[in-house]
Amino acid sequence: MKLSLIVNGEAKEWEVRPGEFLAETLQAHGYASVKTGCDAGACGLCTVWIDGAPALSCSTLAARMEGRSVTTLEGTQEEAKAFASLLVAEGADQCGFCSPGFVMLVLAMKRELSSPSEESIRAYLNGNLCRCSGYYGRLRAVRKYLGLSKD
Amino acid sequence: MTIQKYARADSVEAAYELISQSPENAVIGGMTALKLAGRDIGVAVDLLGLGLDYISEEGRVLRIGATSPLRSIELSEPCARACSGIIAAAVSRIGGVQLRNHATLGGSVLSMWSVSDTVATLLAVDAELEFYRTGSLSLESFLERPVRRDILTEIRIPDIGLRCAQEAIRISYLDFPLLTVAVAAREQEARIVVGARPGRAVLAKEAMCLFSQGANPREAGVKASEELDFGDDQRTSAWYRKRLCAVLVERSLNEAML
Repeated sequence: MKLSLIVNGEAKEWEVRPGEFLAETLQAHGYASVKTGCDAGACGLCTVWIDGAPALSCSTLAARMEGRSVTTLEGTQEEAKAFASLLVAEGADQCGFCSPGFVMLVLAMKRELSSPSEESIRAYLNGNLCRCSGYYGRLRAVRKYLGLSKD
Repeated sequence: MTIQKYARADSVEAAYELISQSPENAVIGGMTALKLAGRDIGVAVDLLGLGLDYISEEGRVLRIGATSPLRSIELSEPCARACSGIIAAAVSRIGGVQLRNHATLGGSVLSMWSVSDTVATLLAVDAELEFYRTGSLSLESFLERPVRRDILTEIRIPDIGLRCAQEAIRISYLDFPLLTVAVAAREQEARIVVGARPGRAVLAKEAMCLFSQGANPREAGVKASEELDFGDDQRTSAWYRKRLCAVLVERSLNEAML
């Protein structure tokens, strides 16, 4: 079936299978930042924005994206740069496999939470799992990114 | 899972016609539960754009459209006000923000997961379900005799003024609960629900009766732990669940009655 959507600001017309999930579609069209981990909606590696809100591309049917706007890390390069450098500086990138989904989630959080507390940050980010860096480096990077920590 | 065909319905009636054509056809909500179930689907019927994504307060009644994402319920002021905020709190514990942006309340109800805090909470507040063909029925009736081959359009909370509390114990923040308890009270009457036993959420009717006759929260908690069945699974034992039940029911009743 034909699918018309906007990806990173560009109009696309793709052929998709009815049962194809968005992560698979994006990967097939070269959006290499979109990873698949648990493939069950738990790990957050596949996070993209759909109409500006973070969503799991592994659990979203591509067919549902007709007329909608999808953003991947490739479409947020400039915005992501500042946070990505903090992740590296805090030693929180490690293997990096979960980083694209995490960066997408952090950028969305910055837009959504007007005055984030430690608790609201942790609650917002709990849908992105990392199995090698631990979470403290990530949290230090997030606090610095949000201007909550000076050093 | 496989899907042979995708169809975006242009009305609830059209969606109903599609699912009536074959038992393999199914309505898709947020796709989260359906994907985990691994079903092979003939026609995947999408309700997107049918106006079933709404939250409205009418007098003492809270109406939530079946395709409302959990995240919008979590952030909704009427949901935060209703029933001591337990509905908003219960959905906020499901997965991450990304999942809650597309998982729907209707999907949570219809999947009837025994570990669901949401189902336990909705059962405590005596939620009503509105189906396109069947009409309205209580969640309590639905859990006993589920309606299949119909379209859930709305979930209603009949009395937002109930004093409620919900307690659950988890090994880690995102894990399924070892036990979940929800309580909704009006004066000395209370609906007490225990879920993740690990069986599905049920009313502790003897404990409710005892409480309405003047028993204190501790006595009601002990009665609930005695009347219900608990089982073992990989998370914990029936023995531990039984003890948790007495404590969580007591704690919830105390909180609700404050």
